[in-house]
Amino acid sequence: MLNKRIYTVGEITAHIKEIIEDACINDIWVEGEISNLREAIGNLYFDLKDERALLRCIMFQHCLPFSLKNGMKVIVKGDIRVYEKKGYYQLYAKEIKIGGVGELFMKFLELKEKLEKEGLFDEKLKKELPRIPSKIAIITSPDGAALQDMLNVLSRRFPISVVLAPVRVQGEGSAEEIERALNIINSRDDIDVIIIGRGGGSWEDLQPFNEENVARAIFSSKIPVISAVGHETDFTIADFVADKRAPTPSAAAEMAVPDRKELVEYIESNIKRLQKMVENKLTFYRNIVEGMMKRKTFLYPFELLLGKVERWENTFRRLKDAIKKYLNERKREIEVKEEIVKAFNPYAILERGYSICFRLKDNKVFSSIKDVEVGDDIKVIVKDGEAKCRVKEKK
Amino acid sequence: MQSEGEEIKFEEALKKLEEIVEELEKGDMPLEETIRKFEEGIKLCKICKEKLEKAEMKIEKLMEDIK
Repeated sequence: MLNKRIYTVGEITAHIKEIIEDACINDIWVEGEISNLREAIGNLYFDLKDERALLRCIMFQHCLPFSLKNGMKVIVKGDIRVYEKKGYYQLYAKEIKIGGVGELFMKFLELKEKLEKEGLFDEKLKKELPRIPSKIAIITSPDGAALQDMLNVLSRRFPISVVLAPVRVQGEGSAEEIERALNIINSRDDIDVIIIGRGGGSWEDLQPFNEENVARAIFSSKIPVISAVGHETDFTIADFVADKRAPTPSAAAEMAVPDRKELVEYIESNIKRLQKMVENKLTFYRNIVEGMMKRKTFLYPFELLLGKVERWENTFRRLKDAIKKYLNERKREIEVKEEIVKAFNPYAILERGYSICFRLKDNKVFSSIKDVEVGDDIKVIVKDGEAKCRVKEKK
Repeated sequence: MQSEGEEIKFEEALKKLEEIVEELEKGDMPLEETIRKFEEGIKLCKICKEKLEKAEMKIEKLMEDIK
């Protein structure tokens, strides 16, 4: 209880502010009808009311993709705080959804919670986008501006083959079309990335992307999915399940492909690095080789053969000497034997001036005068020839 | 002996040549064998010389190539 004393307005208001804000009435969703709407310096001021009560609301620096009007049914998310200066509490709005959607929005929150619990939003299960896809599929309306935006971005950044899966993106049966398109594209093996999306619209318009079957089809897609539904401020279940969420269709296209110019620059810088590396390696090895070339072996290569040449020359000389010596010795032996033979040779005396006489009739040597008669023919052999003679007389 | 087509290596030829020279230097072989050995020695000598010349030429050519 408060003391029984006199408080200033400021003191009591601060106290009330403390009590209310301690209650943490934060991030609550409130449904009601807009009245007393006004806008000043980018801030929206309005009251929310129903049959029973009125709640003052303020939204700072709003960037709603739609304009509010008095009498509109909306749901507003925000915190309850006290504005001391004016002495009232109010809802500081953070998000506003156009009304008549209260039920739809609760369904959205329930489904979101359910799928989150099941792990469909698990960051760990999200697939990486390929760095350079070869073909991408776009699931969207063929007539929407979103498709044109995406195609423009793609052709500017990185010309690539695009498969379009035309679907309706709002209204009855569109969720089934989107689901079917996802499944069909997943049965192909040439698609690297899928973009599903549409341009901005009312909360109801975006409903196909809040359907459970679409969420499950995205989750079971083997191909990475980028979700790009509506504007930056719109969040759908598809955005939570998809592998990547893009704030707009154009942003999705930018995510899907690399910028060709950047890529070329990147490749060129890599080529330069590669060149430099190869050059460095070559210089390194060239230095080694040049160092080797300055070694004795290469400066005086014939020295390599020196020992071998010498050994060969030596051996060759020995071979010649050996055969010469051998032949000389053999010759010498023969000469000696010849000497000996000569010594026994009767003709040896001829050398000393003697002569030998033969009888011609029987070619016999005669050494006695009795062996010849006058008139016999004889042969006288001297050292360098022979003479035929006739005996004239005997004594 | 070396089989056909398989060229005798320089070191082998030289070693054989040296063996022959040593045998010849002893000088106690019959003439015909001496001549036969001598003939083989001369052949080996020629082979060795050719191989050395070839090696020299090859070295020269290789040095030429890197100039």
